[in-house]
Amino acid sequence: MPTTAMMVEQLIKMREDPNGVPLDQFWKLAERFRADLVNQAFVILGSQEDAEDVAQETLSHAFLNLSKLRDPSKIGAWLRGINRNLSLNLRRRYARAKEERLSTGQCDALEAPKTPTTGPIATGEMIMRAVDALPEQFREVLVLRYWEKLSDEQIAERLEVPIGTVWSRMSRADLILAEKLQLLMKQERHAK
Amino acid sequence: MIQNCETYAGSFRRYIEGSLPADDAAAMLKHLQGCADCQAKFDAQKQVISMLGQAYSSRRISEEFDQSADRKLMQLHRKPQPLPSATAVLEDGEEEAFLDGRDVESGSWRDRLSAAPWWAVSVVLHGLVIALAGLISMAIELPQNDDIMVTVTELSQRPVVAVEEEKKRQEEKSALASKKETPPTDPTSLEQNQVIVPPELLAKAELGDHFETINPDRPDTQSAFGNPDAQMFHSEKGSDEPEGGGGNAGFTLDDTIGVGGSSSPGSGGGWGGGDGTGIGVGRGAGKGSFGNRGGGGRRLMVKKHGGSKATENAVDKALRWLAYHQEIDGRWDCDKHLSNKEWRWGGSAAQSAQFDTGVSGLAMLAFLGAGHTLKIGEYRTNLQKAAAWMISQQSENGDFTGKQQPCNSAAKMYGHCIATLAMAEALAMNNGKDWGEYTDKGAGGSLRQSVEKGIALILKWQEDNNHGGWSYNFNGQDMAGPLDPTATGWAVMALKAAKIAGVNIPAQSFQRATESLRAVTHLDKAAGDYGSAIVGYRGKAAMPFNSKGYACTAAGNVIWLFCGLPVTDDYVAAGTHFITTPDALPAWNFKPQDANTDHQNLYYWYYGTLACFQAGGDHWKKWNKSMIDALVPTQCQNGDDAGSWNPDDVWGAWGGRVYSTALGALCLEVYYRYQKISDK
Repeated sequence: MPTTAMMVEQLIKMREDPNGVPLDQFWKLAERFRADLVNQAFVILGSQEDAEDVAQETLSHAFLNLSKLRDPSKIGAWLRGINRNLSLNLRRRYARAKEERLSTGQCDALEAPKTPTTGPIATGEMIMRAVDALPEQFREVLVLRYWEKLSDEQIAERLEVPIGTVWSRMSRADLILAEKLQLLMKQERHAK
Repeated sequence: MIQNCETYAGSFRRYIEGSLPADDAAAMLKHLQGCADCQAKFDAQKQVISMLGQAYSSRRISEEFDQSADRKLMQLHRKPQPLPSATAVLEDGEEEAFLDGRDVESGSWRDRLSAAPWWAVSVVLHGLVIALAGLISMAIELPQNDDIMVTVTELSQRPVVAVEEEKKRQEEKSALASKKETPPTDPTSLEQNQVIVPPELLAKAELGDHFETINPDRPDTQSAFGNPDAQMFHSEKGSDEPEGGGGNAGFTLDDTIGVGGSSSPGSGGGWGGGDGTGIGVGRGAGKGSFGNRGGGGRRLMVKKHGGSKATENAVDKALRWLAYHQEIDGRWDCDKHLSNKEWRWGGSAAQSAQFDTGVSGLAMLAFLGAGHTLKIGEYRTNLQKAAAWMISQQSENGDFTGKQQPCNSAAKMYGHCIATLAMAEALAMNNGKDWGEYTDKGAGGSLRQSVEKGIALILKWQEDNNHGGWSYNFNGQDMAGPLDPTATGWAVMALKAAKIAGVNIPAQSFQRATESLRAVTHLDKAAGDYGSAIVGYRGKAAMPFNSKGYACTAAGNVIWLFCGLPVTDDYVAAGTHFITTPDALPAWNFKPQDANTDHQNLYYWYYGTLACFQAGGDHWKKWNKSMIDALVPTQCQNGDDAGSWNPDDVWGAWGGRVYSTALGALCLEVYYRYQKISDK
């Protein structure tokens, strides 16, 4: 059965009667998205702990608000929307709390260095950001590989696509990334 | 055989990852030779794959992800909040927009998103003016008026309790947020100079050299060598992440001790040694006082300062014993693990029963010293339970022994100071982030509040003492008489740890402790090469059990060092010399008739180990060897006691097996527990 259709069907059921759906079924569904959400939040927050927290929150909110999902086939984008907002919100709270602490002199001992980091952007960070900006079909194969450490076969299984599709999406993703990174590096050199 | 380039393209990745069957690989390679186009694609892909591999080498969704998500869902379900935090970001009416699937990414948004810098979306969506250095900046501070708006929204939407929680959460995050701007700890940065690592060690470390599992029969799961959380020791190449890579560089304060780096999981194998959380730690040395408690920093320090696999193994075993013997409520029961032998300095079950707080604090310190924190490490739940118990025990005036009845003055003094030290270290190793899960229990409130209250009481005791030090000679409520170095040692260490955790400690407090300690020290500069400094016990006259003054001198040295004196200070140097004379060195050869010496006195060894470690040189070599010889072979190996040390020392009848085991572990953790000042 094609995944999307099955998913949509399940989602519609869940939406109508959230209490009638066993939670584990939702989490099973969520497995497909969680890596993507974590990656997205990580790019915003820079910490895996926070990123996972946010992704968990996103999924929880999503489950409780399923009835508000108007087009179940767009669940991925919907989740990302919530996730991004939660991430930005948390980052803002960090910034504000830090501001407060600095202004009240509470954290002179832990004060950040006077000058902000000016070092070169870490390649790792840049590449994660680039992954996050990929179109969905390419992004999802990569996050499953790199966050969930799944093999090509497992990815094919989880996404319910032929393995050849996984291979071709991955190569395509690599090449898009290569281009993007080249561009970013050029920009960075330029910025310096 | 004609195959088009497209067909091969799909196999590049598999070839690079090594999963392409040999036949296909041969055909592919042959094609590459004749096709420059494909060769270029292949090269590009190879580079990307290697970068991806590095970027994500230490990334993996936590095993507890679903469980935690479940818990969050339950919480939300019980206390429904219509997307509280997200709501706050959005302007009126926007909640619907992002809940109904009309998402930023649908339609043309997607194109924009992939083409535009990631933050641009938020700019467009919220109409906020964001000044940004460019793609590279992670730390964006949004305009303040927006922040105010957020606060107002939250206040009006959420009950008071939730606001409180929110506040706490912000506080928790704030320290972390400030850490995020720590400069990169890459080998080429200036900070490298602060870490002195022998070149040959460094060379090995950079090659990814790692210790084998210590004991092949028993997979070593706890130490830096085998902590599953620290799996990226084994990654082949470090990353150049500015943060992560085993945590940020530790902060270094103006004086003796710095604070460790971020406890956020690192992104693997970077230079920074991390904060001793054992996560994502690279092969580099850490910086800051707690900077080396785990991972790469820990391994380097063990090697550098004279530890070995045997000492690390002993630490592991001791921690395991402690973990298994923690009570269900989180404390350690002092009189449950007493030796039934009789020792000269008395002790009884009734007395020991009053020391639960003290020995629980020691046990916490043993875990913290090995890099376990409230959040990270195999024993985090043990620490969480212990910290919760501590908070539950605290009375309104901050006293961690507040609920202990009866509680003699020694149990109160030691118990409270040790507990405060442990809680302050827990706070510091949590990046100064608060931890308030148990706010409803006990008077202390959250971790930070309990530390602040505990410290306030320690400072009050010092204020009340006309000599400026601490002793457990309580005169009614107040402390009187000259300083007792054994009690003062814990008090000063607690102040120092709290200072690292961001608690405000008046500088004159350390100053007064230094002076007050000098007042009970007999310094004879003319004696021998180093002179002699003997710290007395509440006065220059040594007490009977302290006939030679070793323990008090060791404690005195630690106090001075923690107060900021250099190891070359007259008093400190003479003290170091004194406690490394042959009679003073640790040896596990206790005979009851020797009870009035310090020979076998873990309490002395604890202080002596810290003091000599800082002194370094031959003094440390001598001490370290004796300490290892005294502790490693005498650790119990069998049965329920396996991993512990028999409480067969001068104070064993008071503190029991928890005391002896925790102190034994703390001695052997010395290599990485605090930063060596001269390493800065």
